[in-house]
Amino acid sequence: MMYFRKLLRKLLLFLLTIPVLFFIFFPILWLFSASLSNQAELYAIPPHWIPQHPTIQNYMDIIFPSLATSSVPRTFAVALLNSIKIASAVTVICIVIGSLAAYALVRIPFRFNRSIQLGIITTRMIPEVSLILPLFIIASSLGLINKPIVLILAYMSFA
Amino acid sequence: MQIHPIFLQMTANSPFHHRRRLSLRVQDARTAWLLIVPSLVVILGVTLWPIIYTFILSFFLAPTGINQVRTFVGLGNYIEMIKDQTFWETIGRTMYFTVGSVSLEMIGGLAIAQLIHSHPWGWKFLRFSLIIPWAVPTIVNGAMWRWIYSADFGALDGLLFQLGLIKHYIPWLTLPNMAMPLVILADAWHMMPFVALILQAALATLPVELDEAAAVDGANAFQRFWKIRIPLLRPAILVALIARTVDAFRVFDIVYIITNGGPANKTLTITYLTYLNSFPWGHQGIGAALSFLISIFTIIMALVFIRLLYRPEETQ
Repeated sequence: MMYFRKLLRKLLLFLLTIPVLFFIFFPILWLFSASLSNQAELYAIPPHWIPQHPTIQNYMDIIFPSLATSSVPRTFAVALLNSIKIASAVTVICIVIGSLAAYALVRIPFRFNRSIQLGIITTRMIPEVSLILPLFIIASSLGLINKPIVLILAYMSFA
Repeated sequence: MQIHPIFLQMTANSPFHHRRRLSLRVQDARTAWLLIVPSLVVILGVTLWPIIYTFILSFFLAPTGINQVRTFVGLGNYIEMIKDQTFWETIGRTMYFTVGSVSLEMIGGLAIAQLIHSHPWGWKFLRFSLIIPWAVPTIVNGAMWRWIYSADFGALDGLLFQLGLIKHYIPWLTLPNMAMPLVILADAWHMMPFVALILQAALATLPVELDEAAAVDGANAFQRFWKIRIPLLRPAILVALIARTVDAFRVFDIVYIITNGGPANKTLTITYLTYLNSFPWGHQGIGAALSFLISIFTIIMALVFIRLLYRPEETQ
């Protein structure tokens, strides 16, 4: 009897996990399925949850764009390259500068240590949007805005 | 020759040694400053300087464009902003979004955390799955949900249609009262796992003995949850709550992608209004005034939250 109740409890809990898993996976799996569909199948009503004629044409279009494809997929390579460039530059700078500061803040006790820590956390909470206008006007180089983020990540994980 | 310990002790207490130790500390402080200065320069450069700049700019009428002259209008921008009905509406809507998404994420996150903690079949897989929504970039998340809500091929319509709940596809994002809840749902999908992971990690560190003792004393599962685990979880809940509140207040990109502030301004948040004023509308003065206000408000909010967070440590 005891064993039966335990089994029932397990079953009930498992029934609870199913909707959670569905909520997590449904959007992302649907996105994946849509990426394998062609235009006609995507617009089908009722929807084809699993494409009947799966195609990797969409992926081919962005990776190997031909003249026939529209301009959006053709910019993919450039955009990806830009992202990689900016991300790697920002990451390297932030890790070098940030780890120096993180070490000092965590290991060396000195007068303004705490106030600097608080100041850093505080600046992290300012919305990017309110900084973009002045930064745009000051015309600083692209990607600069992201610098504090990695620094704080480094700092947070250290502390 | 061996030195007697007493001599060592004497030297340690001598004034000379004391001075030596002090100077070491000064040296330490100097090293610390040397290490910190680069990041301080960066942080001041990308936050403090812009804030000062917006403060100055907010006193000017500054239309964008070539050959546009800035004229000093004093508090004119602020007055215009406060008189504007839209400004107050955006504040209300930002609150709506913040309260809605944070409460949904906290309740859902706690429920998922507790579910994982009960170790049902496949709980390890569930815990692993939580990382997926969180790892999706906000912009991609926004684009995905915009698709899901699409009136032409959206998965939400498709699902409801197949279940027989709706007869025709509904253009969800054009319904004024549905737009904000749908944006909140999209945000919840993205950030609920974050809350769940924090709380689950905290739950896992709680001592099992307390739970067992309570069970022996006759507390049922419900009581154990509310009377034992929730109070013990308070620090973790506070951390998650604060992180999410600050983040939700800053909401911009998800609104930008999913609804563009529409329909009929129903999802126009304060940050989005700032963006509209600063760039598409070209009212840089007002944009600057809004930016400055938001920055100051966030700094105050941050300081209050930090005090809340640090207090439990100080009393220990």
